[in-house]
Amino acid sequence: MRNQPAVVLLVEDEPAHAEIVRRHFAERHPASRLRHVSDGQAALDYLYRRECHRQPERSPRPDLILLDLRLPRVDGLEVLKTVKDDPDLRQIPVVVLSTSAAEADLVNAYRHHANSYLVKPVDFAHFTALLDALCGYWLTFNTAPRGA
Amino acid sequence: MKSQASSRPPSLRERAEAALLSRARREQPDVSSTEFGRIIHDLSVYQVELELQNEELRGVQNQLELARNRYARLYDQAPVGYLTLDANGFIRQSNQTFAEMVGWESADLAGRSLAAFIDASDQAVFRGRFKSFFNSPDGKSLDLSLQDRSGRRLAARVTARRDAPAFPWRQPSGDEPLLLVIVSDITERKQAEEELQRLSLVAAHTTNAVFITDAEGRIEWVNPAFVRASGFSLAEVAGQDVCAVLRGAETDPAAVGAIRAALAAGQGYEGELLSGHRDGSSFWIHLLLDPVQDAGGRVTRFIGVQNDITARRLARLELQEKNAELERFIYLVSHDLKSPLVTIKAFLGYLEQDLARADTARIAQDMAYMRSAADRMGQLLEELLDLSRVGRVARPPVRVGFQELAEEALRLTAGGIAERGVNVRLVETALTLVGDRARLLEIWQNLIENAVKYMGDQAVPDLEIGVERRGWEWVFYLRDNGMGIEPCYQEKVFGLFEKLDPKSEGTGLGLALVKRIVELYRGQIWLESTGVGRGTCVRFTLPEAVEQRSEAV
Repeated sequence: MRNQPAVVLLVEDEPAHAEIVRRHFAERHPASRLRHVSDGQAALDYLYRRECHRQPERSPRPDLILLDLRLPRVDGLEVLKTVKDDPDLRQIPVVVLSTSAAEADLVNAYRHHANSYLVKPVDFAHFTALLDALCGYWLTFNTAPRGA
Repeated sequence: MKSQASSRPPSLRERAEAALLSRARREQPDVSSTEFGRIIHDLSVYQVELELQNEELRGVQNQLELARNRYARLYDQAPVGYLTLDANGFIRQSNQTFAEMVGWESADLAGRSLAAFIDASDQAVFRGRFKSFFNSPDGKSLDLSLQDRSGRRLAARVTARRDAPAFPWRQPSGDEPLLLVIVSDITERKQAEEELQRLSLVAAHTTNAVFITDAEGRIEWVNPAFVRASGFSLAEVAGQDVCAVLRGAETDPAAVGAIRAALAAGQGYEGELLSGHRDGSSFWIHLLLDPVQDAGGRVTRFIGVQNDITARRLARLELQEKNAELERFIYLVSHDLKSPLVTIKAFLGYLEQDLARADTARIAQDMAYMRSAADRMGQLLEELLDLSRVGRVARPPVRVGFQELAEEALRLTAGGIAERGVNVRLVETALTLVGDRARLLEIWQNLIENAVKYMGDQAVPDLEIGVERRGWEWVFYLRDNGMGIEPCYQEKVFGLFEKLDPKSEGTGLGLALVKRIVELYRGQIWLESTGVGRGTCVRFTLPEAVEQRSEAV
């Protein structure tokens, strides 16, 4: 349990999918702060406070990264690699949220130390249940080191 | 001879008595009893002497008989056929071996014409040449095909010499000339010769390159196909180390090492390697190297058979590439089609909630998301279908000028060009293309749309469309001063579903389609851009669409 509201960075290029996650957080976890970027380069800019993400108040360090894999410019796997190679960022849990259930994607994600891999369900009820479980686990029950 | 056959010859004693009687009539000596006794003694001694002589003669006769039998056996069982022929080609005598060759009893052959045993195909030759052969057989030979009683053919070589009578005084037929003939069965030798001839034909005329080396791998012989493939003549490679001849500038040293090791070990080798041509170029070969051993198992030579697999290898690489592309395609299609489906189902769920709450603002939003996802799906399916048709659905090729194509593409994209205020310049060139007009048009249409879309914040957007000669080929280009593209993405943009800007419209199939069409005409497409903000130049070739005649212009 935490005192501070959790910051979640959503890296998602599909606006509709971002909207689904955004709505879910707004309804079920209004206290959490969801930040959305729509490609891999923007995600790295956010994490390293570059470009339009220089201000810490507006771009707080995330407690959880929700990462799509197929992204324009820098793809999701590259973002994952960068985060997990960086001693300062690697403690942030990265949950891959992708439409792909391809074995190669799963293997690659876990090889680069993804903390979890979730396949976007086609069915709405399942999608909602998945997001509920995801938030419950990572934002409510999971305990992370302070300042991580 | 007749009297001998009818009665026995008079015995030696009868002949002796007769001789004595005729002699007694001439001299009747008076003999005393003492003398008589001496005479009796002498006669007895003569008798014993005669008996001993007789015995010796019988022994000699036996030996002669044995010798005669031995020579008869030698004659009959010689490994070649012996014949005595008269001037008309009739057999007077033959040995057992010849009789067996033609499947007759030797006794039945006498009096038959040799021609009767010669295959129909060789009858004319035999009849035509026999007379001169008979008259002067020295140094001549006749190769004839004989046929035995069962119809089996055998190849025979006939040589002969004139009969020199051993006992002229006994020759019954006086001085009738006869021919002593030797008939050798050369069927196996002939078959081996033919086989050898066939094999050398194969080696000389096969399209596979063939070489023969000595036990150390030095080339002894190469066939014409090898000369064609490698560019080296036999004279240039004879005596050369085969590894050195096969090796080219790009040959993998490991492959050469493997061949060398096989040669040293007297073992065979099979593999593929990039071999070198005399002119310095390279070509892929499949090489099969086999040791040839003598009866003692010692390697005396190597035979190499190689064929050019460059085309096959290219086809294989192309196929691998196509397979990889297909795999990527399936993966991407499943991903890209699933994505709008997720959207539609999710917002359908929200729609139900929002309808229940009568939240009209959200209902409109839900429906907008669903519509856009459905549209995207529709567009994706249509473009996929179009992409899959490239190269499969062939419309008859037509001639169309480059100018005409570019102008039509500009008309079709006029809306976007006007909206963005792009200043377009078309460099006139009288070049004619031959191909699927609609497909060729798609190239320029897509590229113009793309250029317009990525003009970025360029205040004075320019686009130049043209074609220029580079070496021996025509290179088409579209040069803009838009946002440009980083070198690392320049290959990526032609991939399926690749979009560099998530906010941009489209499915990411446009450039993939262009690439497919360009490749259909055996062309290449590439980008030249020095980086972001410096504009982009798309260049491509269409070797199989550019009309050769128009190149002279």
